[in-house]
Amino acid sequence: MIASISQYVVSVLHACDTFSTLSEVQPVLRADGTPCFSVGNSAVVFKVKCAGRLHSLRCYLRRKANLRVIYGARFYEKELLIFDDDGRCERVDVVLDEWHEGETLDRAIERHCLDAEYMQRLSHNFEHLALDLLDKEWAHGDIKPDNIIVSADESLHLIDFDAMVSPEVDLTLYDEEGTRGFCHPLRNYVPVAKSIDDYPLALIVTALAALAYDGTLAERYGVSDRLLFDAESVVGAHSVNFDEVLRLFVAKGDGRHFHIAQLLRSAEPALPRLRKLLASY
Amino acid sequence: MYRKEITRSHRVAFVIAIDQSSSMYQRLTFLSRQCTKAEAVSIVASRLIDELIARARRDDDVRNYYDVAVIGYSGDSVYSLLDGSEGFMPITLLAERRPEQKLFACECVLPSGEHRILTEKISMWVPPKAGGATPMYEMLLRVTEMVERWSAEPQNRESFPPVVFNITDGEATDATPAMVLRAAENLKAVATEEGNVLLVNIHLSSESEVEAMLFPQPGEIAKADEATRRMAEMSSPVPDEMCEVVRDFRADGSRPPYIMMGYNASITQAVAMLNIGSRTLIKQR
Repeated sequence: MIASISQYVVSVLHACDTFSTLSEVQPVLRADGTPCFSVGNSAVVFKVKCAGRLHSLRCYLRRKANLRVIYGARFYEKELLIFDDDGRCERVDVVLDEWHEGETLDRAIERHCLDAEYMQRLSHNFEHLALDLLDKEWAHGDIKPDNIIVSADESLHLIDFDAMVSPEVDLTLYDEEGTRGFCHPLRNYVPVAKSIDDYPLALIVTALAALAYDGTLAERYGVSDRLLFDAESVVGAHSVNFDEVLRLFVAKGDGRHFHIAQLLRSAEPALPRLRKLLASY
Repeated sequence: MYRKEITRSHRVAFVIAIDQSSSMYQRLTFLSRQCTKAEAVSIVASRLIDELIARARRDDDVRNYYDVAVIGYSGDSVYSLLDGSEGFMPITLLAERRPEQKLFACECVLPSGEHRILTEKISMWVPPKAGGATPMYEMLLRVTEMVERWSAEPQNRESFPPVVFNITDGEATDATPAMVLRAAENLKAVATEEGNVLLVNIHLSSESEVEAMLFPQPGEIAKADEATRRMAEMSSPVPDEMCEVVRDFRADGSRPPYIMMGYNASITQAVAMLNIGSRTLIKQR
């Protein structure tokens, strides 16, 4: 059954009838009475209250592999009943996860790009997150500004782990493609590995460092669909935007970020030097 | 081909073309109530617009991923059904509007056997109408002009090509079948660098016992009646990228190629086709 988003909304609004075990879930409503939700390519994500606490409720639009090993007890298989217009129903998987209040990284950048001190802190915090992530046994698999929440205290939180790569994940079933613009162009042509986060992390580190020096780059090169430049335009091609960023690092005497940026020209998605360059701060 | 991600700088255009001729006054059952085909299609098209707004939603923001046009055709006229727009409207502008909302109730049966009434609020974007003849040829010409202009704009040249849904319950009355087919071919010939326009024809039935053909294979069409074959010729082939979803939807073990059409479809089947056609190929960043 290919259900519409509205059918998911209806089901979540009638939680006592449609959930197998999570019947106490209550969607958080907007001022107009509609539930708070976002829609990704594979799930509708609701902001809900459960046992007095805020949670994100990911309701999947299609079956996906590896969700149980990724999310563990947060994963509820065939939990939510979705009905079509003839009253027929199907059960879909959901994940009840922690809610992080805040805004996505791209929204934070849009709002604060001209605040140099804020951008320096953001850049610094992101590098900590990146280093921490590179030291883990798992990789996120879909690093992009949409999947990073900036809280009011400026802490950063990763969300949406559907594309996670870990020792427990069955890679024969792995069909995540990442997000173009942030992934190396060969990401989906090489064996899946923990280094899958290297390239998007390096790209975001580079963009944030550049924006901390010159916030006007945001308006000139865009921070909504991409962060200043697309991965595809950097690898094996000429990018005016990227060249300007390199010149900026040279002008500022910032050899570290210059070298991190140069990694983005790599012919391969794995960037083994990234961790050392990040740690050298 | 047909792989371009949808972004705010590379949007996709949807055209929903709705037959509002007099035959759409026939009655059927939809959402547990009797209504005319025109009313049912009005709900379905309105829901698709709500769906596109929902899909573009990120937290409290609606991202400008789609340009939408809703075209009605009846009598001797082809006209926009979106107030204040003769052509495409960005989804962000639509999201700012507050059309009248109606509450619909649907009786559902839980796996336990209990019956429940689930209610849904639907924004009524598209007013129902039924009257006059079926100027489908004129509609195809008008939509071709619209998508040609859209595809020629510099910011759209590299975008996913426009997707056109034509919802009808009959055939054109304003031209010969050959002319209609030529007009459909011209529409499908419009292209961006990512591929040709996708024309999805959905023919509605009011007779529930008539078997529907949904995403048929060419071999099935060859055995069908003339009207069905004509509609198939007008419709786009299902792109390779979508074949797996169509195969799962048909659930009959068939293999591609398939045709992007539904014939004698029920309203519920039409909804499924709209969902498949609008979501499956469209990957948003």
